Amino acid sequence: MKSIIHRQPKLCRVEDKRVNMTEPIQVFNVCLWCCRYKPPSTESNPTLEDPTPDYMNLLGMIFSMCGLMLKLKWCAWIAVYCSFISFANSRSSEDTKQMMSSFM
Amino acid sequence: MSVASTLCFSTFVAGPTMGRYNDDFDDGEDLADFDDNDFAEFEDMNDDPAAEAETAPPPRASPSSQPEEDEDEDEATVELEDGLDGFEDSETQDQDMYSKYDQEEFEGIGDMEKTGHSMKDPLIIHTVPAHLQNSWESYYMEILMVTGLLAYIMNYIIGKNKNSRLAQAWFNSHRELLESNFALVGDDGTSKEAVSTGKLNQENEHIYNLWCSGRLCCEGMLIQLKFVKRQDLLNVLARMMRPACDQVQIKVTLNEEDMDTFVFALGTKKVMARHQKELQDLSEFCGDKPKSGAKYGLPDSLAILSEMGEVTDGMMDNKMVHYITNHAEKIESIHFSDQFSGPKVMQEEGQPLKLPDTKKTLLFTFIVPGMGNTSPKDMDALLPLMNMVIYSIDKVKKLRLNREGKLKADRNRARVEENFLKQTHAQRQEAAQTRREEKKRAEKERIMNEEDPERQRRLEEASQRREQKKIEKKQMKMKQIKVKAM
Repeated sequence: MKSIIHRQPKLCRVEDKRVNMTEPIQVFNVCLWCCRYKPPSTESNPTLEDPTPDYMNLLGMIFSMCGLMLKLKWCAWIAVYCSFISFANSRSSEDTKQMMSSFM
Repeated sequence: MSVASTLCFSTFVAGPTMGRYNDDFDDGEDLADFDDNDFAEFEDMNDDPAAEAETAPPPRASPSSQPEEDEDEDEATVELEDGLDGFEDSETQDQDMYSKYDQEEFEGIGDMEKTGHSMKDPLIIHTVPAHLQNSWESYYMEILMVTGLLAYIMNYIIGKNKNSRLAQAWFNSHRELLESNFALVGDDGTSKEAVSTGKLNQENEHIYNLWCSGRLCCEGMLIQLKFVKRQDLLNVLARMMRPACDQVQIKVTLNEEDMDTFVFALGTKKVMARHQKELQDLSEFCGDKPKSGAKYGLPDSLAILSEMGEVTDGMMDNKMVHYITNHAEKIESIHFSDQFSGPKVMQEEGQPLKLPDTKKTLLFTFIVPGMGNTSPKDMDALLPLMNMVIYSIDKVKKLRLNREGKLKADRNRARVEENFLKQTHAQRQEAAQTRREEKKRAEKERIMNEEDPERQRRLEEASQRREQKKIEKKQMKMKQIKVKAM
């Protein structure tokens, strides 16, 4: 249930439809209740969220660690690819700093 | 190995030759004395290495016997470094030197001569392996990877722009209709006043939102443009195997008084079957299998899930049928429900459930024509569907069930609630029991923690009295029930 706080009145000019063109246009000022937009909380529906960017982030970190410890060049390259894929699939709301650090 | 052996031989040769050089400068008598004094102690030892040399490979014998003398020689002579220059000279004197060596003391001289000859062979220059070279060929892996990355970035930019253009084209074609029907078109929820932003919210590179509100009969309408992930190259390649299409999802939330109590759904057969399993309200209220829409003049590809026949008859009027028939290929699903709460929640064990919150909702899912290869012009084809949405809102507001229908609907809802309570009865009992135990434990702890023994005693007595009262009450209740039963 939306709380009252989210509803705000808004004044609108409404033009009534004319049956025939000879009648004058009737304009009314109507006060309509507008509900404000509330972004859907992710806790209530975790299944609807796309998990790709999180998985790719994790894979990227794992591969970069492997590449660093075991000195495998191909691991490092895969890590770079994973971070690019994660960036491409990420949501706009996520922190840019976090994404930049994942590129590192 | 060959380099090491040549080095060994060079020291071996240099040693005695150096000694000889010194001896050349010294008197001959001193030579004999030198030999006697310095090598006297090694004379016995020379026999032993000589004896060992019989078993060991011959070339090894000479260096093994010589280094001991060489050490002494090196310490005695100062011209160790000069010995390197002398090495070249020594090569020329090799043959003369070897012939002077006592055959008893040294074995394998003949072999040494041969190895001495091998030292004169020219040096072989090996080619440097490819991975140590500094040329383009050695970096082909890196070039390949960077090319792949560049291709990914190019696709990202192109895909992002295409999605953005599609979204803008959709909004431009629908703007007029929306602005004439809603007071608030476009809101991100952050501004203080309810002012139309007049633009889409970009949630992702492939998802765009639009919130419209301020209309009679509805609380608000959320439109989501869910495009395919054109910005992700992996997704583009996956779509070549399995085509996917852009979707427009519209969710209209209604006020309590705007909708009567019914559940109705219409869509493609596959989607209806899936929704019936996954969605909470459809699975509870529409238990029958999806019926074909042919009865109402709809195409065969569409199926209907309804709580009551009356609802279907009420919804499927001429105009609605006309809309659906003309745009059947663009409709994935239409879902009207007063008990909408989303998909079925997977229940965790031991968690007492409450009935999920329901909302009166109209849900529409439309498919953008083009199957992934859409152009901005295709967005105009969705405009009649938006007209259908507006018409549906007004229709639902007007649709009222008759008396029988209302009774049936109320019975259904009561049945669902009862089932739910039965299922969770055991869990709720358990939860109540644990809560009671927690209370008792807390009280006991309080009594134990009480330092003053007097107060402790009093608290204990009080709790005992309370428990006694509870037991008496229960007994009274049981007696009353027994009397009533009789």
